[in-house]
Amino acid sequence: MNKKSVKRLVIENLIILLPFIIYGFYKNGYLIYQRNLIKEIWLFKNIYFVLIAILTKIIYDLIKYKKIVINYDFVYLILVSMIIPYHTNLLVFCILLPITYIISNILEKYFKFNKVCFMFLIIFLINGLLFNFNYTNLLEEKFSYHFSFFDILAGRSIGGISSTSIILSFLSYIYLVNTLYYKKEIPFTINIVYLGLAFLYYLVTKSDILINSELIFSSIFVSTLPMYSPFKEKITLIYSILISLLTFILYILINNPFVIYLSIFIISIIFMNIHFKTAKKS
Amino acid sequence: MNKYIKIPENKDIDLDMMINLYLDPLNIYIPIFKKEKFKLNTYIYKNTYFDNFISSVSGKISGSKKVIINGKSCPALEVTNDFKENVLKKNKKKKIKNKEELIQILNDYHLIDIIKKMSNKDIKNLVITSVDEDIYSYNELMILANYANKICNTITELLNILNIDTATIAVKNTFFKAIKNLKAIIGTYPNIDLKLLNDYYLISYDTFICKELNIKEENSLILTSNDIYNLYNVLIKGNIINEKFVTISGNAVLKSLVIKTRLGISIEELITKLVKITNSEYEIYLNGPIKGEKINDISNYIITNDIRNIVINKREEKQIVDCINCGVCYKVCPFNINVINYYNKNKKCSKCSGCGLCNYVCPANIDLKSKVYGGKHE
Repeated sequence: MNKKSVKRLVIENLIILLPFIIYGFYKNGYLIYQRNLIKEIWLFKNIYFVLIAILTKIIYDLIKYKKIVINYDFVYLILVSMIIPYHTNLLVFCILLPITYIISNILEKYFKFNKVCFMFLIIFLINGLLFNFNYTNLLEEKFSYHFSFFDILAGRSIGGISSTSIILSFLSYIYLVNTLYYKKEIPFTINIVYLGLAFLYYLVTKSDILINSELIFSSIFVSTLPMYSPFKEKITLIYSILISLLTFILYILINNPFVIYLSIFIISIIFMNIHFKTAKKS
Repeated sequence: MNKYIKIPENKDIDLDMMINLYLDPLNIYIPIFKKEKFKLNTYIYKNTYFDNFISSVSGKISGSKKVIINGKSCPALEVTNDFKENVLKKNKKKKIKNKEELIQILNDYHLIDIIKKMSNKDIKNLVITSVDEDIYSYNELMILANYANKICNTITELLNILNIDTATIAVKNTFFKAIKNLKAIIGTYPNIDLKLLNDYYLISYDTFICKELNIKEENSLILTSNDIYNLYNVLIKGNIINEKFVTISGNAVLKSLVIKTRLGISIEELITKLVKITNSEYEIYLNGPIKGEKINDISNYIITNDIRNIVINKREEKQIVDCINCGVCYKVCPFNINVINYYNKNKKCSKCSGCGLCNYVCPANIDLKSKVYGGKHE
């Protein structure tokens, strides 16, 4: 058992997320560019999002603290830049990310909520209303929307701009499970319960429910964010089951892979504020 | 134990495998808890009791100073050692036949801790643990490694007095020297078994040791090697206990030592005379950085019965930040205490043993133990 500081945990998290960003570049940049569907400038679209997230944090810190503070907000902002859909408008993102970040920091003083989900949902909603709610990339739209099992495993499934690789998610989870500071039970329960529900749904209705990479990625990284998730065994179990249940219901109703973020947002608000107020600032 | 926590060993520590002696201090300090007045130059005999504190040398009172005992400041007499070891009366060695007589003699020799462990118990198991609580402490292991014969003789004597068939010596499986020394002689003591324990933090707690050995705590007498060494002095030698084993270690010390010294000696004297500090920026902890306390001014501290080790580590800048709700303090707590909940409510927890694991693991470096530990649990 080795002690780790918050700073080290944040850096470790960012290192774990790096391969996802590289894969996001490959899937949502290189592969699309190869088919001449985009200009060179959009080759690095997912990296632009990440850079905007980093800049938002740096500028906010410099204005507020006059120095750069390495805390979990770095992870939150980078996660948002990774889970947004490919079609998110860069300008909209550039404007909305700092605004939602400032609003979430103000609101957090009054009640706890999952900042990542909050920022994502606002950006996703406004971008959707202004443009569209499309969550596929250009390649998926034009050529293939039918993925093989191995395609999905490798990451060629629908989802966020840098969050679709299931293999990388599994590898990250295997690493994180062996660290003391990770709430490993949450992703495990969420995915098992969701799989069970999907199977039952298939048995009853004979129609498939798509198990998407967004569910796996968000359960590993977003639902386990220490500040917005419980840590006691039984409460963690209820928290995870409720997320799965709500995601499943919303998925049937809305049929959008990003409903998981709405579920996490709602359930974390309930758990962190109404019933189990454990995240009070010391 | 509900949770087995292994804390990595500090590889910077180079331990001297012999017990070092520092038995002739220049001065000793005797804390005075009651409002009594003493004149300068009054002669103090060795082994004289002042409340529960013993004068470990003989000499004249040369002054007074404030010392810190259990976090509280109290006045202390400064006795200048005349190196004559004059005692008022010599204790006579008695033959002890049963538990009642043993308790009586322990009472006479002020070995209150051992009496507490023995009283109200129908003792069926005798366990001797050579496991130190703190990762920087080596007292118990070094006593066993260096005085294995004395320890085994005393255990045999104790078995006869308490009318028990066998005793078990429990040692961490990582300390090879103690195991080797013990294995070499244990064959000649058929009623003593050796049990190797895994190197987990807090394995020295009675509850956890009984669980490991699969015995009931309520009818087990669990003593440490240090207790047995004290019993050796009392039962076999007829000596009053005025010495103390202390480990001085840490990553800012050239060589870590286990020292046999006198009660009441200034810790400052002990450090300046015996150890070489390698780093100019260091911090000192009494009884270890995990369970113990950090001290700023060493000059007011003396060796008392509850001081087991002095840790001198390189200074580390620890940035204290807001709690991130990771729950690791709860995860590692051997007593399943929701530490952060007590901390937020500013409440003490009677279940808390003050082991300090929550402080050790906290990524935000919050001092949880000081708020949660009520000081009741042993």
